Amino acid sequence: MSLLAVEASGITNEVVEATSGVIGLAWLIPVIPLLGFVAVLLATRTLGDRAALISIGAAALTFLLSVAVAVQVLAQPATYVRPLWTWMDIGGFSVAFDLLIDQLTVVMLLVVTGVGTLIHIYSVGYMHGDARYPRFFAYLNLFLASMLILVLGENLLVLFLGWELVGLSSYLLIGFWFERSAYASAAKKAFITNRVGDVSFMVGMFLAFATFGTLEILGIVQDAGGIASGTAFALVLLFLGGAVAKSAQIPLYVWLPDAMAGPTPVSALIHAATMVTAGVYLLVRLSPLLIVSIEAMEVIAWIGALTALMAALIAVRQDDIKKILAYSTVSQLGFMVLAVGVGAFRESIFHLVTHAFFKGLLFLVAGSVMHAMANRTDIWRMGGLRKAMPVTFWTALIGTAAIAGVPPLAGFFSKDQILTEAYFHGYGAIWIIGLVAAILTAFYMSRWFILIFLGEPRYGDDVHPHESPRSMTVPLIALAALSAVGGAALNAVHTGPLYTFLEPTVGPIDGLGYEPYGPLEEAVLIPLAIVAAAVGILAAYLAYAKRDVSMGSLAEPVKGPVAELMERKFFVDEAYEAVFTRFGGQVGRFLVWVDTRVIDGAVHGVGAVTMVVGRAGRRAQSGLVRGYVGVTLLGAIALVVVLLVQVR
Amino acid sequence: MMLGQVAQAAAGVTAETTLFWVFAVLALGSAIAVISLRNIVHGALMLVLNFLAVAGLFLNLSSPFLSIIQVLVYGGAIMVLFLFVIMLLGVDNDDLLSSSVRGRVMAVVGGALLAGALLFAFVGPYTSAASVCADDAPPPAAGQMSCAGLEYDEDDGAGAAFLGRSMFTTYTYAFELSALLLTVATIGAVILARRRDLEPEDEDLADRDERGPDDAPDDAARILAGDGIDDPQEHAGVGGSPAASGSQTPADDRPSPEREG
Amino acid sequence: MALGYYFALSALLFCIGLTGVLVRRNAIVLFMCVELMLNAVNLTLVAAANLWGGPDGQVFVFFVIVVAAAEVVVGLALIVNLYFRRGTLDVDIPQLLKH
Repeated sequence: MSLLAVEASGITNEVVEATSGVIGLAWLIPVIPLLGFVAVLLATRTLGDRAALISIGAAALTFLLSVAVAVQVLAQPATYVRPLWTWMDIGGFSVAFDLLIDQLTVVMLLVVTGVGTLIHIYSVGYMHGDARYPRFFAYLNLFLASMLILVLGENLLVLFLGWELVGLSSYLLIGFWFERSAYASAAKKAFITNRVGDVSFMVGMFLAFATFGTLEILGIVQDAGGIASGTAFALVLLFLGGAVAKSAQIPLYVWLPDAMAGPTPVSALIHAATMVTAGVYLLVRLSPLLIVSIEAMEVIAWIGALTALMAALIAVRQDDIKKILAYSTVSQLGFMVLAVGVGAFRESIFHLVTHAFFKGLLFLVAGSVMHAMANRTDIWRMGGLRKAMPVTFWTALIGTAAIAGVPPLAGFFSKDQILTEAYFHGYGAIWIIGLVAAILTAFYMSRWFILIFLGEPRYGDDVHPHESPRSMTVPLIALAALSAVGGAALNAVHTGPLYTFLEPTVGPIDGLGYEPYGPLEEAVLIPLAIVAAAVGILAAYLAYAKRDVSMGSLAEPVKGPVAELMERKFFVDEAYEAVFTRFGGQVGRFLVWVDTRVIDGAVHGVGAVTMVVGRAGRRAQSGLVRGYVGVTLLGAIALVVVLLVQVR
Repeated sequence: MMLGQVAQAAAGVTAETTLFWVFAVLALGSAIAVISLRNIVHGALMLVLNFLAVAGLFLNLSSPFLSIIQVLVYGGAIMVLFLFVIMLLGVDNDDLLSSSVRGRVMAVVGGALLAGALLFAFVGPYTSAASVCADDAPPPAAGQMSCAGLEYDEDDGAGAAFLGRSMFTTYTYAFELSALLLTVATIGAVILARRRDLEPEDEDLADRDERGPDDAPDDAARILAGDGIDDPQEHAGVGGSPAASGSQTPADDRPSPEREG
Repeated sequence: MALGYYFALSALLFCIGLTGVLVRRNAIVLFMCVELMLNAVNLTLVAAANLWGGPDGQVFVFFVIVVAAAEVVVGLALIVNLYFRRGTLDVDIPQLLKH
């Protein structure tokens, strides 16, 4: 074991290189699900429905290993590096395939494998009877392996490998029912939108290598303090570009609502709980770099705040059970990014964890409801499911309350702490935006809940809702329990156990000179947040529970152009369509024209000219030796005549 | 000058001129005969006559060494090679003339045209009275070109030393390259003229089947031996010449390519 | 004796050789005509060497003879080859390049 200390960054963890013990076995964490993926994929026919057992086994084993690793890190807090092998070694550029295990990794590991395992179990019931049942589990395992590589990578390039692999599995799972072209398009949309961010990420890596001479996260973190603020600004924004695409922030959030085309467990696992938080994870992981450029952090904060507000506004007027949750996810991710921007790195991770609990739960609830309603998704044609689906109802209630910010559930703590941090760090406008977004969150989630579970049934006689099988309700209950107590247990106050645990891994913000925005104390801010949640819930109750909503979306209390704007998602998709698809299509068509006419024309022209010259030249190449001599003779005569004329 | 001087002593001042006219008429006549005689063997013999006439002209131009080379290489070796091939192929009577009368006329006209142009352009200045080479030309001023002829010692082997000094100093690389050229030409000729390659494919296969596998090594050995005989000689001739004395080597070097033929 | 006469003679010989190449179809005769042309050039060179008073022209002639010897060896081998393959010496027949 060699000991190194990362001092320059202000991170106080000692770096321990470990090849034995639990950390030595950490390489199994991504390998087990990968093996599960390969095994299931290879033996799809033979395994049949038993494929699920292999996948769940792999996920559960990974979870247990993660727990073991977590215990080790808890017992001996340190930044463990597990060297595996040298991935590539080109000249001065060497990439080691090492694993980085510290407190942040452990939190991510537990969330990914824990929620992942629950959703694997849930999928057994949800995907039952699907034609490609084994393949679904194979993909889930692939995703799990990819996400774990992303989380464990010690090198930005390894992280990027995982980053791309989760993008791939996301693509595969969104387009899982690729027979419907809309779903296949949604998968492509997600993939292509993420490519935009990947370019930014890659350029960021180039710049990072040019700046630090290495892509090792520890190396970058160590030297981050010594670089010019301009370089840091560029670097942070470039990595932010990657995070914006992966974590669905303005302007690249458009893929996430469409990603709901995938099976609901996928939405829960990938597009709510884990993958979309990869961008937040990346930013927090690079937080020692972030604090070098406070300007870049402000950009991050604003992007997060605007995303939180805009997505919440859109979610207020959506009718699709999953679309609402999707925009809610975008909004909550906005909160996380906002938190990173205002320097609340640990709060961001805290919200990431609680969000994984309650948003995973809510998506599973949505899946359960759709399961019961024959895949119906319009919340106006539901209602009154409380009696038919008691377990789903109660877990949904917990989930809704948690995300709305009702104390003492998980969402209350995490969201409130982000807002208070924003306030204390002097970002007044962002704090107000966050507060408005919190009110909206409470409103749209209550609307979602009321329209689905309360009131009179509006689903007609052809649907007979029933409670979902145990494989689905057990994960619901588990996640509901986590949503209920997770927040209080992990970090009820600003210096809770999670923060103490995470403190050595994030950049210190003491030197940033944050001043509180106003004179308000936490004792005032917390009630304010509770009031905000109450206002949202009350408004939704008055609008949807106290009024007759039987005529569907016409029952919306607020009408007019603004509501229309929200319902049509601010026309962002249409704008993108116009700008990128249409204009891009024009550019593409022009390029096609250039290609076929100019370039191909030039190529064909060269060929045609050659043919013409050849045809003309062939006549000269008669093969008659004497013909050649005759021409030579003519040339000689001409030459002599020319000389004669010139001399005379 | 040697022959010229001899002739001058015998027949007076115009001996050199007389010899020129004799050889010129011979050369022109034999050349016309070469292109017009139907019998190729006769044509070839006329060509020999032409070569000899040109050799005489070389002598008249005080180049005895080249004259000898001309007789040996052209009149001897090359023409022997031609006759060899003519006899080998048995095509001594050629009925292949130009396909059309029109073409023939055009060829003659073209040739005459070029000849006229050349005579008019280049020959005129040297035949006029003002030419430095005219019989009654005044002695040239210092540094001006004269028509004095080649200045070399009469005793150094008919001008061979004169030629050799230049050839093995200024033109050494060209000389070596010409040696290489001859080697390559020899090898090329050997390969091209091998009749085995020319036999049709099926015949060749049948032949090989009949002979059986045992004969093949002999065959290969024979070819190898044949090449081996040619090569050392060639290399000795080429490789040895630069080391040998300047006056001897060119003459020694000459016969080697012909021997191959 | 003015050298111009030598030049005139060699020009005539050259043109006779050229005419021969144009007129005859037999490959061997063609070759002999080419030799005629080479000889004419040699004559010019020797005459010019006489005019300049240096050895260069003679050296050129020497090399021309060397090249001519090599050319004849290869050329005749080709002719023999051609005759065995095509059974004719007509240079107008093998117009393989044309197709």
